[in-house]
Amino acid sequence: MTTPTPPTPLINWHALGQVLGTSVAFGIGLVVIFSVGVFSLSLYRRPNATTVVRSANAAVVALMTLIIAGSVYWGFYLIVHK
Amino acid sequence: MHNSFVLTFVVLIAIGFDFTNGFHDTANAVAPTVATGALKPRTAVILASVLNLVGAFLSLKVAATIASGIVSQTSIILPVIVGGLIGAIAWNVTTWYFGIPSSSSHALIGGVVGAMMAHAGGSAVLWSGIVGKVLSPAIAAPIIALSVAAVATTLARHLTARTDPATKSFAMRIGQIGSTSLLSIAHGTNDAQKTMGVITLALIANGTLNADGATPKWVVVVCAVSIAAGTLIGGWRIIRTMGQGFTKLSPTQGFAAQMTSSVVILSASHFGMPLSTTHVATGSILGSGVGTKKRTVRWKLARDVAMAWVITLPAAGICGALAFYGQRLFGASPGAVIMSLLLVAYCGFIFRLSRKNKITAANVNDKWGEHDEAFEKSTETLTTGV
Repeated sequence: MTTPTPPTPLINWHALGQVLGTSVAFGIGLVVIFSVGVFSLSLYRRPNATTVVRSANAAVVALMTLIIAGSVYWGFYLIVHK
Repeated sequence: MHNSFVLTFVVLIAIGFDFTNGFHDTANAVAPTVATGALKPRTAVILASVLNLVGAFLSLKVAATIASGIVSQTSIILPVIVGGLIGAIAWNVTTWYFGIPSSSSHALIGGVVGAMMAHAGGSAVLWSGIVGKVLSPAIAAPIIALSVAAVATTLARHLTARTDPATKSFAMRIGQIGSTSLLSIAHGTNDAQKTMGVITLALIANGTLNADGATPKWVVVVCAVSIAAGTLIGGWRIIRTMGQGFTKLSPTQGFAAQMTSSVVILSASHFGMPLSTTHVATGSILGSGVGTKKRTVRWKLARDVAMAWVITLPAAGICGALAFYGQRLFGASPGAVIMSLLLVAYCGFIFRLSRKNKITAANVNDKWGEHDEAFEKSTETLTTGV
């Protein structure tokens, strides 16, 4: 005797949940990372900034740029390999 | 059934649909970029056009056709496809005239469903597919996009509050150009493939191509060029609605809205949830308005657009059914010609009407016509740099 297969739900709640979770995490996350990068860039460009402050902010800007670039690459990957 | 004459018409009308899809959906990728001045209107449209072309060639996995899971595949005949395409084009052109950002995919699905119902009755339509693949995503897409964009805009606003305006404006504009590019490529990949799927389906239905045959290269090239040409024309009326109508966009809002749209569309595509690019982009722009300090959104316009989304399926369906009945009345080949000529006449009429109230790259960013005192008052303190 086999177990009857459960009927396929009308709405794919699992996929919907995944889209919601990914959108919240990456949508908000990327905007926050970019904004932090912008803020650091602003501090870096201040005329009275010390060398230490400039170096620290340059590092933050570089890190944020890398994360954003990685995300864009991941986006392209999703487009090409979907 | 071999009918090369009707097949030729299917291909021509499908190319026409792809073209309308291009100019109808240009706004999804470029509206915030144009509205905030990150790129000049013409430059933004050219960039979107080139990237739509590139996107159309990036992925050639036309695994599922547009009608898959929506209507019974065994009942599909060429006049149903002709009817569906005519219905979709008629609705796309109508909504373009009114500057309404409605879903081209839903118009196509509506047209095919209407034509199929006229051909084989309601039993040939897979209603569970309509609910699962069209209606539920249509409700979810704008809600997810609006919520994410609202939170993202709020956070971006607070995080960059003490940033000097010049740096912020510059960086946000660069971010917008990047997200516009990503959106354009994603659009080219997703939407050009829908038309490729329609033409492939017609080739199979006509017996020209085996059911398991690959999409011919010429179909890929024709669809890619067609969607890029449509995008290049620039659906300025819809760009205006999305860029100026819903809310007054600052570079921060524009960036948050476009980044949200990119993420939602790409993740939906990845997880197999067929969300409409138009619904996501509209929801994101509304969300970016909600995320401002004074929550400045023209909700009346948003309500009107939502109403248009609700009637897209039945309206395109009625057009599709009428186009199918016309073909049945006059016979397959003459019917396809007569219905196509009627469509061309209707498009010409709408185009002439649009000339009376021209919207171009030159006036796309003019102040929104409808005077809304409460809205004007709430936005007067905003500056473009914020």
